[in-house]
Amino acid sequence: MNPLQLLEAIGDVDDTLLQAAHQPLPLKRQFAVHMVTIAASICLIAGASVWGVRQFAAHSRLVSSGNVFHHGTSVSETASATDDTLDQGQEETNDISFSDTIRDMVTESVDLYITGWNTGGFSGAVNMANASFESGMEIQVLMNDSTSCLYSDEQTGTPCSYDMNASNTAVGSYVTVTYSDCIQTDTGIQIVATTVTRYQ
Amino acid sequence: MDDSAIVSLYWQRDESAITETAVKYGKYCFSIAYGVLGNVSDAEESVNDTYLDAWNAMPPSRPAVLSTFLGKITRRIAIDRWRKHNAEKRGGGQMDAILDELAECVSSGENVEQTVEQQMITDHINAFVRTLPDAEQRIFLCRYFYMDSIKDIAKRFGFSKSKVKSMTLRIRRKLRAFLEKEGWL
Repeated sequence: MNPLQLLEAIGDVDDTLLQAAHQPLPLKRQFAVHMVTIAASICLIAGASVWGVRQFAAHSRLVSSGNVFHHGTSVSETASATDDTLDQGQEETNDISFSDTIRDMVTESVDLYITGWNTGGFSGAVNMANASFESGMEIQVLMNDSTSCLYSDEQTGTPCSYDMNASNTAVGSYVTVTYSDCIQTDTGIQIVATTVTRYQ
Repeated sequence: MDDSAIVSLYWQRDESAITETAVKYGKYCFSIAYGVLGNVSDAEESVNDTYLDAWNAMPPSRPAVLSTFLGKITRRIAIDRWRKHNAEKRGGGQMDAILDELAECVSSGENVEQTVEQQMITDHINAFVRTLPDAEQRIFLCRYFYMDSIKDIAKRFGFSKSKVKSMTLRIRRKLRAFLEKEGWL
């Protein structure tokens, strides 16, 4: 076989292949692919920018108000958080997942009455509504070794051993909780307590 | 006018069939002929011969795809014309470059038996082309059927010329391996 014979043999290929080869479709398809790629890139950049700006604004607001929240910490992580991350009140800008909704906090304390104890702390219902929480709203309070537990007579109960030395007998007690983190999860709102003051 | 109407004109022996063909497929046929010959007047003559061939072929032929039917005629006529001229001197079309490229896929100038074996080669070429990814299929046929230049192919597909060159090189290596496997080399 010589090149010319090969060339002539190529001249009899199927019409369907020939039609497809010489149609302008590939160029259009390529153009479309390029456009989709560019559009996707723009969306990604725009999304990232908006998210970044919002995060920056939220962080700036919290810092300026003196409230430093630890964002994006999962429930289990928060429950087992060490003193290093929570006790020192240091500014922290952990990664935040898109599923988390950080409340725009105005106050950093809430009055609750304890409705039950669990491993990470206790659950409580909001006793006195404030700018952040409605009355009766269920909140999970997470406690750790750095949480200070106080009594109405200002007696310090640190460490609180997660139960304010009251165990389940404290169910129904009224407490004021100051907190460092507020996290919206699928199961509800969780706060990480800095101090828990029992006043009734 | 759609293709079936043009074919009907041929079957009715209506000479306007040639006019309609020229209107719709004149540039298409010219680009193929020019790709082979690289000469405007030779290409135009090949296109005129294409119309005559088509007139003689229809009837009895009733092509399903008129464009490729005409393209194949044009290509064959242009190659024949190139073959005649080639005895004197080489032209300026894509033929010389393409034949040099295809020489990488075949070993020598030895001839195979005509007709039957030629058809067998074509069958294998069809099979080979179908094994290629879509983009390579198109590039292979644009280069070696339509005789498009590397520059035109690059423009058509939005690739760089070097990318097209590397793709055609890869395809030729595949073709050589395929032909060796099928016992043609």
